[in-house]
Amino acid sequence: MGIKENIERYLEDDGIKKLFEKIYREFKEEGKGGIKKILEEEVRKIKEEFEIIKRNIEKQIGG
Amino acid sequence: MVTITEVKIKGFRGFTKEQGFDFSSPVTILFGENGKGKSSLLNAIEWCLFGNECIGKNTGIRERIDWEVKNRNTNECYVQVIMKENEKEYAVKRIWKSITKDQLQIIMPDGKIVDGEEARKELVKLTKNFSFKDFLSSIYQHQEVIRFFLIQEPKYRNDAIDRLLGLSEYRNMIDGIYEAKIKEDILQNEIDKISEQIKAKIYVWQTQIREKTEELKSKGITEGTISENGARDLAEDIKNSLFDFSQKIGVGLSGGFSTVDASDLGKFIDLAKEEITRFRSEMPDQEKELEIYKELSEIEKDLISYGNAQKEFNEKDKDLQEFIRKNGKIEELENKKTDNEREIKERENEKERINLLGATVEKAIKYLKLETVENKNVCPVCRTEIKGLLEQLEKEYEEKYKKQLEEINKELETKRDELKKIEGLISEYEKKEENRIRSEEEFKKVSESIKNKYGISEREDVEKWLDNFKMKKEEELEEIKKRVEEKQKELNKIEENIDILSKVYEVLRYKIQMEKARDIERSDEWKRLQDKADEFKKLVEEIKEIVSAIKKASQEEASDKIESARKKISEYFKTITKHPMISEVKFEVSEDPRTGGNSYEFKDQNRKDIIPILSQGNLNALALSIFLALAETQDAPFNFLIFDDPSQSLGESEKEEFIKILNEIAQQKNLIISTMDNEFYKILQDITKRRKIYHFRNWTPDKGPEIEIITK
Repeated sequence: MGIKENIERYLEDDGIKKLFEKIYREFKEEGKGGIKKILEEEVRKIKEEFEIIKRNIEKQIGG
Repeated sequence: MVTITEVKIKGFRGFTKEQGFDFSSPVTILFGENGKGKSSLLNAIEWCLFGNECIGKNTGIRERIDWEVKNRNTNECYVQVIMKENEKEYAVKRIWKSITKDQLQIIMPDGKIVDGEEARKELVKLTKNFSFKDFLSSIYQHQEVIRFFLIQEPKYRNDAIDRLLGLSEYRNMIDGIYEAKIKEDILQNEIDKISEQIKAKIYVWQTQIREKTEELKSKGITEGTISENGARDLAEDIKNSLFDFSQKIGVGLSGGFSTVDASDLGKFIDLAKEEITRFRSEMPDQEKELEIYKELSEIEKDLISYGNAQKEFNEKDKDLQEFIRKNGKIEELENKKTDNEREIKERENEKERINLLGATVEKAIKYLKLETVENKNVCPVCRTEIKGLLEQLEKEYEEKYKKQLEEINKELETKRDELKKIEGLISEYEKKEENRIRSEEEFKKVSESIKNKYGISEREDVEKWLDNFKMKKEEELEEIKKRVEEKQKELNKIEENIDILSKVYEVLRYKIQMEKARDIERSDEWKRLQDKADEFKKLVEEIKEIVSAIKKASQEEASDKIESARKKISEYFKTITKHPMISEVKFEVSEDPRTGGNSYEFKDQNRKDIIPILSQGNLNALALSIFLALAETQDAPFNFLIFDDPSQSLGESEKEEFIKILNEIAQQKNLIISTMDNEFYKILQDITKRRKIYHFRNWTPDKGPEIEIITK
């Protein structure tokens, strides 16, 4: 059994399995730098939308 | 499995010219004293495979911190490693470009040359994502790294053993996740911060509303005025007041203010304030006031110049009168001068007469004294004979003529002094009189000019007239001042109402903002913000679960591998050291309660920790035993092992046993062994078969290492 399957045995949720697949694919392609990149990208997407809403709200408070 | 068959080096660390090394023999021995280039060769392999990953403090090797890759005596630096996998040959070449940059190039088995990112990906594939740290732990036995996991802090030891066990992929995955530095609550914290900010703002606005309302009430403003309708009514009042005022002073309202809507309070207040400022500066009485100030200043100036001219004339006149009183009038001085001149003339005549008479007597004396004159008693002028004439003449000359002459000279001197003094007084008189005339003329000029300027008649006293005029102007000014003050007061009152309106407006604005802020936390936008924070939190939770799964899988695999290597470690350690107190080495793994990662321990047959009782030599033997056992049992992508000075602190028999083990391993994997230990080298030569020896004899900065190849 490979490392991927070894880890997947401990994951139950499908959503988490999907995220792990992404992480593992990047790791195989790019090494640990790839994991960093993909996670930062996931975070960036959420943060970017969060920041837009936040700035709007801050504008309202400031006004 | 990848193996190294050949290495070419140029300009790398201790190397200058290009030198090649063949690693196809089962055992390659690099022998020579320290500083002859052995380590540079091993380092060249690492650098070619891992680039800058093998430089700096992250390597855990002290000497790597300030490493210089390129030799200072060469312009070109590269390392080429020929690697074989399943009979396919890859020529991996790394070329140094700068301290931070190098170029990777691979000649693929089909002859295709790849470089840059493509070459990097090919190398990752070829080395099965094997990191530099994996390489150091399970391929390249570097003494410092081996000792690292035995004598350093448990955390580093656990790290190193993980790598030895081939669990580095798990660890690298965890490292990669941790390197992303995803902090759990950052978005929720930001939401909390915004919420706090809203609360703080609401508090500030509430305080402002309370304070301003109290202030307004203290000025008699009713609750009704502090409302939208109240504010509008107040604005209308202000507008009417300003209109009335403008009518009164004859200055029209500005276009902007005339048309502004009183319900647009912000704009209305600004324009009303502008109107007040304009009225204050353009009020007609105010201009008149300024004019009178100017006139008064002019009168004051004329009064001063008139007074100064008059004073100057009075002083000069007084000066002349004082002189006359003291020295007499000019006619008297002129008479005195004439008398004095006459008296001097008379004295000079008398002096002339006495001089002539004296000269005659003097000549008569000289004559009578002549030897040819027989009778000294006969007068040479009148021929009268007088007894003792010469003596009598001499006495008379001395007593009468000389004395008289001296007296007259003295009198003349006195008279001349007096004349000089009188002449001085006359000159002084003339000067004073001239000064008086000039000041009188100046005074008349000033007086005429002022009279003409103000139309003052000849009969009137200028000073008095000016004083009266000044007084009238001052009265007029007082009147205007009073009028201006009254109008300013009117404007102040309107301005006070504008201030009140401003405060009412502020209160109303704060109330609106406060309501808006209260609505924010109930808005859809706020819900969306919270959704995003929850989404982020979910991502963090998922990542945590993934990390936990990786740790669990890693621990499980570690247990399996230890189980398979445990016997070998124990066996190698016993074989090398023949330690009397340790008949068995138990290598165990458990979960580190602090990090959740793997924690490793070494115990004896009685389950006691053995690290505290091991000598330096024993520690090295244990390190080598673990390295050998794991290198033998785990799956590394490379089919070779590198040993750098492995014999440190080992005794002769320990070295022998260790080499026997190496000989066994050499049946499976190629070995590259670097040593400076003569005893170890000798035993190696005696025991190992099918070896190639590179004897590093000398090293010079220009030529690099001088190497002799000994093949057997």
